[in-house]
Amino acid sequence: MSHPEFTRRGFLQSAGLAMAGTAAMTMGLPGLARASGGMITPQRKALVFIMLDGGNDSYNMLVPTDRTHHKQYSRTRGNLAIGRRELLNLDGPEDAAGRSFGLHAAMPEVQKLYNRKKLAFVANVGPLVERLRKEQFYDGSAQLPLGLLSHADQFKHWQTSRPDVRENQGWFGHFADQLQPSLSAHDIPMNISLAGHNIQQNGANNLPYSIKAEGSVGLYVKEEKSQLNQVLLDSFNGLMNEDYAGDPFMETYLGLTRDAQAKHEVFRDATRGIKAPGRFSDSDLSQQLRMVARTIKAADRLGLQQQTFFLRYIGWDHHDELLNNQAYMLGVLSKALGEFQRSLEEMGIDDRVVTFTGSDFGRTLTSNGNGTDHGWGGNTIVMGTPVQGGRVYGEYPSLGLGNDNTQDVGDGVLIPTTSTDQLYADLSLWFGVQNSALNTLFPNLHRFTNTAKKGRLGLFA
Amino acid sequence: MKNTLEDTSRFLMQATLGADQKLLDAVSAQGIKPWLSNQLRHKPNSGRTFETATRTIWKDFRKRLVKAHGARALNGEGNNPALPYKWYFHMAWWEHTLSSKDDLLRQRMAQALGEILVISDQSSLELDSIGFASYYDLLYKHAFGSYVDLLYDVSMHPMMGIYLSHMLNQKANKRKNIHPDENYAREIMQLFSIGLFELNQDGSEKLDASGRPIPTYDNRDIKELARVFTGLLPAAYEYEWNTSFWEDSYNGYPVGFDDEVENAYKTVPFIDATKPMVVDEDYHDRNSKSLLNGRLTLPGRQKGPAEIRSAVEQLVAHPSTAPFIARNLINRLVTSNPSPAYIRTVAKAFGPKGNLKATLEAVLTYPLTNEVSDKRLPTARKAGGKMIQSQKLKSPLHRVTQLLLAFNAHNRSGKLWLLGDDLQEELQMHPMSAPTVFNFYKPDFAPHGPLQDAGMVAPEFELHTSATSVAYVNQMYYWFFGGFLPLVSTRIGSGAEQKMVMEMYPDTLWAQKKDALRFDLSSEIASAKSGAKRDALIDEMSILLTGRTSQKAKARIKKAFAQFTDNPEWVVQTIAFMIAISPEFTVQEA
Repeated sequence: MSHPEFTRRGFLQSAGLAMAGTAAMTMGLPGLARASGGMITPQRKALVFIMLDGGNDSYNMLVPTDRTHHKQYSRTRGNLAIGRRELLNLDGPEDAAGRSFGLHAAMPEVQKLYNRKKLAFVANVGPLVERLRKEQFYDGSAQLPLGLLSHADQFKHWQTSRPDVRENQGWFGHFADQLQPSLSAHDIPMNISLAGHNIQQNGANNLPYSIKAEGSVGLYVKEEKSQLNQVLLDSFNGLMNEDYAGDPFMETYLGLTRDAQAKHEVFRDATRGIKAPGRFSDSDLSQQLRMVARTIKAADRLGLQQQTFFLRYIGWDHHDELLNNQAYMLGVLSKALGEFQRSLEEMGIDDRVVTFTGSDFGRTLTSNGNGTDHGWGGNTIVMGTPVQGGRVYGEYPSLGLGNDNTQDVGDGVLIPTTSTDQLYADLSLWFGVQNSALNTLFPNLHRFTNTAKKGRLGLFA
Repeated sequence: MKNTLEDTSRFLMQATLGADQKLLDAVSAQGIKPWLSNQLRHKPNSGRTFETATRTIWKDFRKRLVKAHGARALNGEGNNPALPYKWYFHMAWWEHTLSSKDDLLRQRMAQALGEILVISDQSSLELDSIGFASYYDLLYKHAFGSYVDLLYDVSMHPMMGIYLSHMLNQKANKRKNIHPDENYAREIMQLFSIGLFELNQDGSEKLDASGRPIPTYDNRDIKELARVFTGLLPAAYEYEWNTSFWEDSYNGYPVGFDDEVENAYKTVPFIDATKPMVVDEDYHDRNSKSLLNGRLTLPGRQKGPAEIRSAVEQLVAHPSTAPFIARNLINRLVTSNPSPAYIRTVAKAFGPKGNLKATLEAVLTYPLTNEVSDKRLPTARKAGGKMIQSQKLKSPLHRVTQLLLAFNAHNRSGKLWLLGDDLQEELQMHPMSAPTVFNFYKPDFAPHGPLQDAGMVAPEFELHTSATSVAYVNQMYYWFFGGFLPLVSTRIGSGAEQKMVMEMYPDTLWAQKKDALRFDLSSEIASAKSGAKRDALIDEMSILLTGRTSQKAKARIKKAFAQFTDNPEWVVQTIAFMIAISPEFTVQEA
């Protein structure tokens, strides 16, 4: 076989290729912007979302350690309960019900961050259309999230926070529709994904920009210039700009490919030479977070103020072998979070980054013998220097069953005490979203804000 | 010639994982329908299963590992490098796909079924490729059989039992706060049979009085059905090595719920993952069950397997199953947006018992005389006596198999043992390696832009991102200009970190002249020597890969090699590359 040589210079020229058809893919005035005007104040901020795909059994991650509540926890969880002495100590005051908290032993980095007040938990959070009592769950008088307890729907609701509808656009996507109403081929989207397409970053018009742990993917080029390579490159560019109007499949194929190459050249140049200091483990999650750190550092060069990142750590559906498998995965998560935060601190950009986790659902408190099944509310992590850490926000629920627990609707499936709307409202305000725009962004939020604190969790000062 | 080359080529894209010129010519001469009937008569050869092939390849590597390192060095307490890791099934799958000639339709169907009845080696299952092969044998064996038989066998297979966790599942135990595992009960309904919403036979959703879709089941139904899948155990312990925790005599020993063995040993690689699970009636819920508003009832006091069989039969007979599976298979093979009439035809063939042979025949013959899409595009054109147009983005896997088969990817050793990991890494797709039970793409995915505007879905685009789209072009560049085809490994590792498993370093593997995969482009190169034949060559390659000729594409390709017409090898490489990255190839028509 012959080996023609693609040239770097040749491929750089392709960045200048004409963009027929791009307008249809990326332009247009988003509905949200029309509705609320400038709803986000531009500022250098980054939100990093880690989706723990499958449903983290988070009542074994954050566990009450005072005698009374731990006893209740043990009784309910049976063969899945973790002993008090095996839990890592979390500093801080008891909650209103007299609970103190401990952390799963696989998470020493998270323990340290919590005790340094760089990390907080939000307790028993989940998608809700409205507040409801147990009786309403049974008699059908309250509106429930669609497809409750199913992966596909709850995974979606965590990304849209609109559990009364099934839609494929998420709140990060709405940010982008607002902040980047029209992108040229060379503009890097503010929503960057380490996990390909996703709902959270999908807007009415905007798509996430997909990169890998190593960075963006561009056409393979060799350094040496040759006549042959130039011809191939011209041919590629010619093909990319051919007109396939009227054939949406072919148009889309070409449009996405062409756009990817144009953006790669910008992204690669902007991130070149930027290193994220400190050691990162070999896990995919750690490696991806390293790339996230580099990309945040490169925000100015990328021409971005706000950025969001989407990561997906798959495999939390522990119907089986819960104890071993979850311990391993919590360990990977904890290490990765610790490494990421330390690297941001070393770069001095930690004051503008907040990382949080989501997961399809919490799991049943009771055991199916060797694991747990799909639940509803669960505990989630919010990390970052701007966070008022070292606290458990929201209301940590009773872990009793049946009549002992106002939230239990069977087998320890818990009605959330905090809605994702409330969590996301706090995060959005920090990110620069104006107060007046919150109800547009989260149409059900008003149902949770008729309280003394207006439904705010107070994650940020 | 019974069918034009164009019509035949389009058909073969639906019915096979790929065709070469010889096959295209033969089917065109014989006629599509006779070829299809012939293929549908194919019987699986019981001596040539994926399990046998996987085992043979694994044994070959194991022998080499033992020889190099000694059995003692291998049967350690931790990661045992001589376990049947996922790669051995990958190798068997690729070897079969790239060399088998008489079962092309069966293999295409098995692969499509593998995207519906998903288990994945992106999980702890990666420890047992023998179990994987055994599972794939079910898809292959029942490809033209009964969906009831297939779904029953799948439900009883230990690999599914582990993946969706109904193995080692026990009936409720109030005292211990234990309830039956609900995972399989949910997914067998949501993904393998009735789907989320009640369907009409044409695939449209039934609506209630206020115009809303009607959910097929709720959580009470799941809890009820979960009781059916209780008491299931692996058939026996089975592990290959004597260690401090294992001796030969354990092998073949039945697994019990309370046999005092830790649960960690009741899964792969310590169990026999090739035999159907058994049911311990003491842990099986023997009471009666009723769900789906009485549509599925079980009288109780039945033996576990009989009860599961009955539940599967009733699920398959549910009126939503036929259109649900019909749409799914049509999506995989023909179009992302089938018309209601097309779905109705296929659903009817599926029937209440899931006749897969009739189903597949309907999926493939309907497009021969009918438009298949529910929307006609402005670019639709008349060919073969009917209107045809773009229907779906080919999955990355289908593109890869089609190209490898079109140009006869081969090696001198005859061991077509592809690792698969390189394809998975670049394209995010490999058989039986989906990220979750929801497969590689969601059925309702539609990218922004013209597809969404037209109200169409295009699931395969979920894999077409800024990262994978260019990676695919790079792959084509490596393949056709660099000769760097997908990695083949036939020997054990040499690098410091991997000397205890197979060789995986790309540079080392590509340097293995006997084993490295290569195309056979000799006849194309011969044609390209003559300037007069080049137009015909482009047409021939275009028809084989895209089912059509296109003046626009031809002009583009000719321009691409205009400056080096004196080098026929470059000419052919350029034609192949330009077609492979073109929308005419990546988008499938019907």
